[in-house]
Amino acid sequence: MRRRTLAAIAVSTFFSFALTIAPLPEWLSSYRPDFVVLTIFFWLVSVPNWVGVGVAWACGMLLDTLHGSLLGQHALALTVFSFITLKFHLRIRVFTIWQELIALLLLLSVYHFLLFWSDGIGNQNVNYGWSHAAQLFASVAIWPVWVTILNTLARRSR
Amino acid sequence: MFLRGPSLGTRLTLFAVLSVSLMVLDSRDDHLQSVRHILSGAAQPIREAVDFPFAATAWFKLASRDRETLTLENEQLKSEQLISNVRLQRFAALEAENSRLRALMESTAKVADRVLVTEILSIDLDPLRHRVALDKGLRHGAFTGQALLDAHGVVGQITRTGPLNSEAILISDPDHALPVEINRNGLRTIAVGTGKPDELSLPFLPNNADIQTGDLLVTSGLGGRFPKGYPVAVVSKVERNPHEKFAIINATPAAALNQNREVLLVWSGEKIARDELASAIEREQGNYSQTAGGTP
Repeated sequence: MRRRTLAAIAVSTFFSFALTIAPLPEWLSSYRPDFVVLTIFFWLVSVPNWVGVGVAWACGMLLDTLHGSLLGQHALALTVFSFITLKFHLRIRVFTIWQELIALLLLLSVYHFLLFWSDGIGNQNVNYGWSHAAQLFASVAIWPVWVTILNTLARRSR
Repeated sequence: MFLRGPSLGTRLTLFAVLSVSLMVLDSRDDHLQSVRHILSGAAQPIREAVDFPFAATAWFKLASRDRETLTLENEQLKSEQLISNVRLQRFAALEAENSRLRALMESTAKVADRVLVTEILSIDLDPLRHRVALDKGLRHGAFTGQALLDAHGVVGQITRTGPLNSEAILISDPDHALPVEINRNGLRTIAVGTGKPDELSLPFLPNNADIQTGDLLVTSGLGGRFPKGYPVAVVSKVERNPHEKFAIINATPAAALNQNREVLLVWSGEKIARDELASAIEREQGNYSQTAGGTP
């Protein structure tokens, strides 16, 4: 059972990373959901003793490498994101889907605000605030579909 | 997790401080080159997994073509090569004449550039930036700042190199500026990316500048990054507004920025010569210290 859940975590995370850099048509690419963050959110809530702040930080470092952004940007944002999620994970577990969506909207706002803010401090593409918002709403919109896929995967691996 | 190891708050502080210090180090200088290389190695399987279906489709298309199409294409390419060769002959004569004239004027002769074909991986790095990933890295001799061309003109330059792959910024990225000159009259200016793949902007030309639509912009070689004389863009719009100090000028990049899969890495002749000189000096110094050590 343990090994199968670990495999499920590894496979879903790998696919999320792949979806993060998979080429999309030009008009769609600014609405790319943060698949890695969504997947980590799912595992943080369901198996918090395996996926914690450290795993989130490591995934953030990998995201920084893949995006070619300043090393530590996504890592910082994901660390804070996972900290807040872990603080409330017991409550999030019993949320209805609408409450979950609102919680995710707030958490992702923190995540994107940290990214936007560190972009500003590092003096990089500051004039792109709107596309952070586009990604945020796309992530929230895709969550019901994504959570169904992950739930199926988690149930199979149990 | 609350029983073993440090508490949640401690972990948050630890990783947040680590991230912030990494960001500071990374923005200051190239201290984190080795960290990036390791992470880049870890990310390589993801990149290849994403690129694989595209590479496989391309290969499959190539493999499944029938004999007739291939023969036809072969003939077409041969005739194209013939035409190019004829042009090259003229070019060779011109180049020889040019270097003779330069010798007469006692200025340095232009050295030939070296190129290497590289492939753009089919992955999106960041929707907000015009960056691409390439499949050549330090091991193939790529270096930061190296110019990137396609068959029609300048594509961009390398911003970061890993052992086996590298990252490049396209000339259409809003963070990119490129020193150019107008081919017709040698007027120098700077072409800045706009964030659209089919548009560059020339923001620093006054209203009375001698420029018109259809003018070809070529690299001026100033700044030392790009070799001189490669086509960059064609001027598409010139708007002179008497109220403004500068004219509004747009240009269309000559290279097909968003549809290439293969591009060329360029080592400019000057750079090759400089590197050879540096290694020769190093050898010389090595010999010197050896002889100095050998005969006390």
